[in-house]
Amino acid sequence: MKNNFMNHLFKKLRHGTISVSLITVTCLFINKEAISQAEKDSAKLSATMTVSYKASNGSRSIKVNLKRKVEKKFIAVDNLKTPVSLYFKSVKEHNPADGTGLVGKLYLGKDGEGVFEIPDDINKLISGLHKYTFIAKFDADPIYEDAEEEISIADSKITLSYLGEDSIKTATATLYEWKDSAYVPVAGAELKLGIKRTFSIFPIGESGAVTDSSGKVSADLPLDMPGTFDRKITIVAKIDEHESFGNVEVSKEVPWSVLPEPIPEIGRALWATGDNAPYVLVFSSLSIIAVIWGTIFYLISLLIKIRKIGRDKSS
Amino acid sequence: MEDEQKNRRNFLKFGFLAAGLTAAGVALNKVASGDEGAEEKVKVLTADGRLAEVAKSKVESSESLSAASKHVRQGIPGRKFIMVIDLTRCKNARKCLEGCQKMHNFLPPVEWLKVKEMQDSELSGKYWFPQLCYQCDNPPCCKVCPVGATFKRSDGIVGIDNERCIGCKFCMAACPYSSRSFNYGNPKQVEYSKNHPLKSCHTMDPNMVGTVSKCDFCPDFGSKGILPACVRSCPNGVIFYGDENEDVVSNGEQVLRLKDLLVNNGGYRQFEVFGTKPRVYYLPPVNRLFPFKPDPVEHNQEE
Amino acid sequence: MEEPKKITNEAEAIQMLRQYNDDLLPRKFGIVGNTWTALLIIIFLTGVYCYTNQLRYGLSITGMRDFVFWGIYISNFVFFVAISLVGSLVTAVLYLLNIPWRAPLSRISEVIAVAAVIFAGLIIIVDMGRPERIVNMFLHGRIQSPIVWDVMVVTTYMTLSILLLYFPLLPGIAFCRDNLKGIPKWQKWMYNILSLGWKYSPEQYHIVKKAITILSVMIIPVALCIHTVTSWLFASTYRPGWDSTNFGAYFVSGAFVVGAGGVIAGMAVLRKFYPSYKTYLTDLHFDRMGKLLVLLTVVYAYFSINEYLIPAYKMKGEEAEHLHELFTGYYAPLFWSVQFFGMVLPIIVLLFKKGRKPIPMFIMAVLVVVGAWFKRYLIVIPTMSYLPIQEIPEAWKHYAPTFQEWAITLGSLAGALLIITFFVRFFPIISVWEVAEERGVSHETIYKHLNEGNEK
Ligand code: SF4
Ligand code: SF4
Ligand code: SF4
Repeated sequence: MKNNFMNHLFKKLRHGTISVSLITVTCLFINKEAISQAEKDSAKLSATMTVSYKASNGSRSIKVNLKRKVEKKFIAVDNLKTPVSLYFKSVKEHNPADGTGLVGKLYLGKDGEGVFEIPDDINKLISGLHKYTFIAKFDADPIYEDAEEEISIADSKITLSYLGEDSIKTATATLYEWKDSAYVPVAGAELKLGIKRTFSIFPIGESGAVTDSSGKVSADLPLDMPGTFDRKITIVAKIDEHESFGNVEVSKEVPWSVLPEPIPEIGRALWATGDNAPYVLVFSSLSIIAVIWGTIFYLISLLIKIRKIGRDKSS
Repeated sequence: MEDEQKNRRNFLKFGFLAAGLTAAGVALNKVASGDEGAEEKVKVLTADGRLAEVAKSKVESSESLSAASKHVRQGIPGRKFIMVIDLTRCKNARKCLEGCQKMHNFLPPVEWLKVKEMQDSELSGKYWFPQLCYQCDNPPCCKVCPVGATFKRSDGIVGIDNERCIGCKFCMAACPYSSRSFNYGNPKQVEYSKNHPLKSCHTMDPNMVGTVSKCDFCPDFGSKGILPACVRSCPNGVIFYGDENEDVVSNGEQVLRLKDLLVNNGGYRQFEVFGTKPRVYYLPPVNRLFPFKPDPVEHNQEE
Repeated sequence: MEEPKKITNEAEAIQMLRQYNDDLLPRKFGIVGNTWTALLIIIFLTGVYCYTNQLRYGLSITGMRDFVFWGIYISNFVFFVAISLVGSLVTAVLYLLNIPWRAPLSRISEVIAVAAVIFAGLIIIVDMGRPERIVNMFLHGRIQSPIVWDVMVVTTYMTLSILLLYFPLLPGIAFCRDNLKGIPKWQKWMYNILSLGWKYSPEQYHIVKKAITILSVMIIPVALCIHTVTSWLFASTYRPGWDSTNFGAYFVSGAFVVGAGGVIAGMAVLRKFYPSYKTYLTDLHFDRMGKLLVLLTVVYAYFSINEYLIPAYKMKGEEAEHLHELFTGYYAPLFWSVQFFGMVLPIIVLLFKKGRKPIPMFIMAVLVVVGAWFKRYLIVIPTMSYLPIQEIPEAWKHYAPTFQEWAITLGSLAGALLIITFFVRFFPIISVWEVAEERGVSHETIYKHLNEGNEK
């Protein structure tokens, strides 16, 4: 701040509009903060921060996304220089000065995103509460205006059950919310069921299915979906971007009988590694090399013999 | 030369550490929330390809990996990565290749993924054709490499060990799809690489002058369950990616059964006749979502 | 042009041997020789300088790019391998067939072979992006790779060629050691070391004879291998113009042509600058080599026709594009001039007796060699412009060698010529004892004579 202010003055000085005495007076009377702050803010860009909550099998995370508008389009902010801080409000009123309520700080990636995993201790604390608020903010960035965003989450719970018979396998999920000191089923919420895959969740059942009056949604699993090699498959139930619950997801591993195709061993092949060369190739080339280089060494031994004869003769 | 080598090794170390670190996730937060004093910071690549800054002292070497290590050469256990490119949806947005370039830190004119105009026969229509390394199951490039610097992994990926490659370019000759690029030491790229020294054990290193590189199917993402950069960058959902063993592919939005998709839509592979057995399938460009419009800009005209 | 008659009389033989030795001992260069050497050294050093640049800045100093990734380095490599085949042709094949006029030619061809194969090995390293990692070839070599085969066969052939040059040279070195007066110390020392204490003894002679026979038998299959494997570097790919089962035979036959051309050119140059060699490199030799060249060129033409005609008959896909470019497109002028000047014209000229005189032969030989170089260019480069993707920007497939690339390539050619030049300067380029044997002089007589020189 001080530096900025001095710069500012020096600039003016160079223009020769203000005399030395005037500087002193200005120093005394003008609020330094105000000048420099105003000057800086006018040059800064404004960015939009969005915060989303995700609970997955009991572990929680907060995702922060920063965008800005350029010519009516949102683009990701990839040059935020300061870290974003996340505060857990329910602990106490957050206090940036001593860092209480601070969950963590994170630099955003090239795509303007960052994910805070909620550490275990705070997670435990949250589990006892049934309504909680997080605040994400950053300040004093050289390029962007300060921003702060708050997210409030109401407690919810999903249970997942599975009934597997030979010809029909059904998964059922129930959504509950915390109301008046107990979990009660939620009706009419969009609850999705699926099978977990590496890169995605394969949806099962009707798309857009909502919970019935007892908070349930159920779906039949496809019978030919390959599971893992140890005869398991993971089913998932989740709600996406619910206005009060956020993203909540539970998954469950269930026994499964469809195995994936066995992965063939990489045998001896032309494209395999050097150690895995086809035997024919190895033996034929080795024998050719042995014959030819054997003869070459024999010829070299002949040279040595010639030399020896030469020595013997001269002695 | 020596310095360069040393630097690279260091980055390598941090790369792996970073992978371990972010796997823990929490650790990163703790580090970042700790005292931010004057401690030296290093940049590390997180699991999902983001840059994070971590205090140097917190980065410890637990596991030393390099592209030469067995682990990387063998691939991710139990996986068989596969790609399906839906030609009906491509409108030459070129976002995929930009995403790929950004992710792997290389500059045009190098394109690991190319989108080119294609016309199969005189009376048939033109269409846009995204092409990358097909990670062939009978890969001619691996056959010819004299030092095993390009290798086939059990998860289907054809990798390159840039620390072993001698730069003979024979693999480029052998690849019938011209999927491979060579790092000729373009000064702009060399400069850029200096400032963007990312390195991970699975991904090939575009910073190594005199070696070959190509699309690597983004194994770093694959091992973390994240789709490749090109898939995520495509605005039209052209590229589907997945694990053949799971029989499901996804373009980020849609999730489809692989076998159904290929069977019902006439999936095909380029140049089946060569017997290279690519791991990338195409869905023929029938009933296209976008009419073919020639590209007004000629890309990659520079040397 | 009668073959020289056999000499049976011992006194006459010794007389002749003395004459031979006076004529054929290496001599100091005149002004032409020195200028030539200096010129070669300058070109060679320019090449070396440019190569240091390449080491510093990478292959970006060349015209090669992603789509044309092999340039004149590789075509030059193929050229060197091709010309190196002559060693086996003249020395081994003619030796085993007992052709009576081959003795004066064998060392010339063997020297060309050694120089060419050494630079073949070097230029392939020049083409590598990471030459310092060549050791990986031994640490991680994969027997499945044609490059590994090529490296093995090139080193084997190089060793065999050097041995085949060295064994018959031993008596010659010894004779230089004993008879060259007024030479610097290092030269004397060099002869001393290299002659392996040669004493002109019959035992040593028998060993040499045996070694030559073994080498001649062995070098033929290896020579065929070296060029066949080089052709496989191309033929094992899927690219139009390379993907051919005819490639091995095509390359080998072409190699014999350029090799014979190289020897003829060398003979003509030696005859011009060493007038005394006229007695040894006679019109007869030119005549015979001319006939041989016609034969080889006809065989080559046969494989060339196979190589182009059948694909041109079918005209399938990319192959058609490739052939159109060669026959009528961008490369057509070069293609047809190479075919005409490098193949058709020499056949026609050399069919006539007048055409097989030294001067027209020399011109034809140069045409054959230069044509062969450009032929290799046409084999390597145009193929890479045909790609599975259409509408490729011109910049991707355009290839023009840069100045530095030319300098390095010319430097390698100059380097090979330098090896030959230095050899001519310091060693007898015509083997006295082999020529004498060819004239029917028995080894005992030669032995006597040489010993006489020894005691002198
Ligand atoms: S597409 Fe080319 S580079 Fe990729 S695996 Fe196949 S042959 Fe190798
Ligand atoms: S350029 Fe590298 S990866 Fe390709 S064949 Fe040569 S050594 Fe192997
Ligand atoms: S899979 Fe990865 S490396 Fe390959 S084109 Fe896509 S982003 Fe690039």
